[in-house]
Amino acid sequence: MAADGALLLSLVEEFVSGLQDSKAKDTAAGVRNGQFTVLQLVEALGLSLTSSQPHTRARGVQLLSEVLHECYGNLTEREVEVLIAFYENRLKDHYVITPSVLQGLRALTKCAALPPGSAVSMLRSLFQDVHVQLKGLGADFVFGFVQSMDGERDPRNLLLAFQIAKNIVHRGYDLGKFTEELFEVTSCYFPIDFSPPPNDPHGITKEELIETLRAVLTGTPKFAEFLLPLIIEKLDSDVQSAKLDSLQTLTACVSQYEHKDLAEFLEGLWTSLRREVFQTSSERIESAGLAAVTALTSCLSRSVLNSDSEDSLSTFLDLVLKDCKHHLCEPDLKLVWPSAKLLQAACSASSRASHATTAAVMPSLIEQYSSRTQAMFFVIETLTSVILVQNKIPDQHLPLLSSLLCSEPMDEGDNRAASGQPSHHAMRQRCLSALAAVSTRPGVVRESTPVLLEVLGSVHVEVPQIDQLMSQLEELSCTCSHPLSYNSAAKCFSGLVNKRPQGDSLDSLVQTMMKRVCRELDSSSSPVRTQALTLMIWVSKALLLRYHPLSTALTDKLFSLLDDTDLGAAAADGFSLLMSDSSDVLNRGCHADVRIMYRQRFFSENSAKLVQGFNAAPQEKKSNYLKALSNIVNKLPKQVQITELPALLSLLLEALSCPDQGVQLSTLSCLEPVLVDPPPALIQQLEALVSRLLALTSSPTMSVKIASMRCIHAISRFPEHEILPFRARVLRALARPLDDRKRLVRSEAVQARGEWFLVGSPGGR
Amino acid sequence: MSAGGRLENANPVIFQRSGERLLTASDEDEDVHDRIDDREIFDLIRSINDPEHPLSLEELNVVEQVRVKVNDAESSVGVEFTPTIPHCSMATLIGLSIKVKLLRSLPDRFKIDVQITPGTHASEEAVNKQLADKERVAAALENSSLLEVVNQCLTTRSI
Repeated sequence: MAADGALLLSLVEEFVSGLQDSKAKDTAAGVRNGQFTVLQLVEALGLSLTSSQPHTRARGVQLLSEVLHECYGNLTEREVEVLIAFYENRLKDHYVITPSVLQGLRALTKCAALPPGSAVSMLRSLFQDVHVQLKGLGADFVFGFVQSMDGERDPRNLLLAFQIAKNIVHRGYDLGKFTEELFEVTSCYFPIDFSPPPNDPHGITKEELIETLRAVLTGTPKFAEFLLPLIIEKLDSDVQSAKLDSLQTLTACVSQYEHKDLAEFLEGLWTSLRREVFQTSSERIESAGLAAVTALTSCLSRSVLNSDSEDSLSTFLDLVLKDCKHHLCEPDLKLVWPSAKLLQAACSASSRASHATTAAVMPSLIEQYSSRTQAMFFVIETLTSVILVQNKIPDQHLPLLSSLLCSEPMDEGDNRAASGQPSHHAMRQRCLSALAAVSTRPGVVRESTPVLLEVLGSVHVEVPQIDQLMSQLEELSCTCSHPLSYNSAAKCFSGLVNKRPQGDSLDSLVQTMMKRVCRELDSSSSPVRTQALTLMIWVSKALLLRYHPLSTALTDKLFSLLDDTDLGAAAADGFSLLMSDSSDVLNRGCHADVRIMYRQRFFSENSAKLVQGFNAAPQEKKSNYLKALSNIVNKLPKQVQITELPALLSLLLEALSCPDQGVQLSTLSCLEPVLVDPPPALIQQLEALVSRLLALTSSPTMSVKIASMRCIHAISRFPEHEILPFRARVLRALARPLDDRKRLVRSEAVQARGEWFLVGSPGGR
Repeated sequence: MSAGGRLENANPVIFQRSGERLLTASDEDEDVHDRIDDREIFDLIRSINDPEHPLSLEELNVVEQVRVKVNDAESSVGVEFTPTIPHCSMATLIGLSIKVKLLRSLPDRFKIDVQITPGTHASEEAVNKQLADKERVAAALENSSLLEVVNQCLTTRSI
């Protein structure tokens, strides 16, 4: 044996290095008669095969291949397996080696002992690594492949064949004059009708076959002229799965095609697609059909046109519009929905398509809405779908559309429910979603925000995921720097808080919010103090209106902020907000929870606190307290003001001396109605009152001058014997504003002074 | 003054009141100085009541804006009023009311000149002379019954 070993080695040596081709034959003979095994040969080739010289390696492989060529019949399965693995690997090697490798593989394929799956892996490797060479074979290769595939029935082979065909198509092999043949040999299996046998060990599914075949058929525009007629033909089939497959294949193929591939088939395709949607019996088919329409439109939209080519997109859209548009005007026929859906499908494909479609359809839809009042749900449905699908409305339709959408949610009528159409509620939801979707344009936002807020205020709104909404609103209102945004968020949040049912969840919600807000407010360096304050004020209002016990905690916090350097004035203004009627949220019109006399209650519970706070406050902060006080008192009903005022009189008089003009004004406006029917307490304070009022007539601000003179005017109607002592002083003091540079001031002075002249004078009042 | 009883001019022609002066933005602009103009003076006197009728001087066309001339810079104002009939004995009273109203309504610096529209009254010269005389005006206002009537004319009626 050792001699054989040495012999083998020398044979190898002579072939590889000595380049003596005849040695191959000798080696082969040696293997055939059992002198050496293939394994030994491989070992002997070890050095050559691992040489750094490609030519050496090539010779090594060549020797092996030639031996295999002669001896393939003797190989065991295990040996074949190993050799195949080795050869597949060698395909990756230098191109010089490749011919020998191919030779070897060819030899191996003749083995009877070929292990299962090796053919597949061989071909795969071939395609992967050798395609340059194969492409050179070009059409011949295709022909060879087509021939070998023809008539195949085994699903495993078919799967492989489809994969190969896919590779051929996708890798850009030159199909030459065998294009149609390749198409024929694969398309004859379309649509796939395959049921795997039970307990199938190979596990090939129908879907796999469908997918792979589809990849082949749709792989190149060269198949278009064959594939499209095939699809149209198969769409006619009664078998649902065939229809579905055809539609899905169509959708897939148009993504590769251009308009010129489709041009001659547009009418045929449209007729079939239309039929599938108009007369559909299955939702799956319908949606596949609609998807196909979208894909088709999209493809046509993509195409670049030359000067002499027809605009296929507009041709196609004309077909669609012709068949669908008029149905929209007949809401009683059942074709209206399919038509609408087809239009939507076309619309959503591209900007061009949406533009053309909406331009054609919108006017008639809008006109119909205006002229008819019943059963317009489908109009709304269509319009809103169009909007929701592709957010792009031509500008000229926008005003009409937004006003339409704004008016719809407000219609409370429920007469639709009876006719079994989508409930009013559902419709409203749609309108609102559409409205929200379009509200990205400034013009629309202005119109739609009030509507959206109003809807929020309606009783019957069921807000899904309310907790999430609340926390997002809270987040927005505390962090956003845009005033309109954080204000609106605070309003929405508080509107919802006000309507929330009593209970632990509400309490914990409020407390969480409070913690967060206080955290921001207590830190003087926080950048969001204003936002936190805004939120707190609105929530206080929400709770105050419904007499919720937690409102006290919030308002106490607000009171405490009157001392704050930065936020004091804003806090004082906050009281005005608390007490006023808000127009868009938290009012009775929005079905908010508003208890009677909440203002009086608030005032009587807190006025003492306010007075105390004022007395204790440092001089420069007193104005905030006065502002808060006058804000609160101002909003009380007149009767209450009159009753409550005496208690606060000294505070108000103090307020008149306050240098802050805002305080002066609010006190004056507070005082004026009281002067109409003065309580005795006021009469006692006349000296102080008149002095301060006269002082204010010299204020630099015209509004203060005017307001104080109005008060003086009102005092002229007090009991004569009380005011007569002041007459001379008043007349003297009012002489000055007669010459004021502002006419409005002069006229007020004239009126007041004129009345005072009549005091205690004959012929006067 | 007529002793109660028969009205001098029982059936006066009534003229339409002009509307209120319209506010403009500059009226509320503190930086803009509003000069006193004819209209402003007219507004002061137009609602003065007629001693006899429940009508204003404007409604009787006794005063008209065209017959008001003011010069703010020179602190002078001139008003011509037209008695309803040439022998109206109320003329002096009316003139006095106008004068008093302006005295009470204008800054001290103004020189106020109230006269009868030339050619509209038999005794216009005499009346004008009285109205121009400061002492006579002051003395008249010391007279309580005269003052009463004047005050009644100047009382603003709620419309």
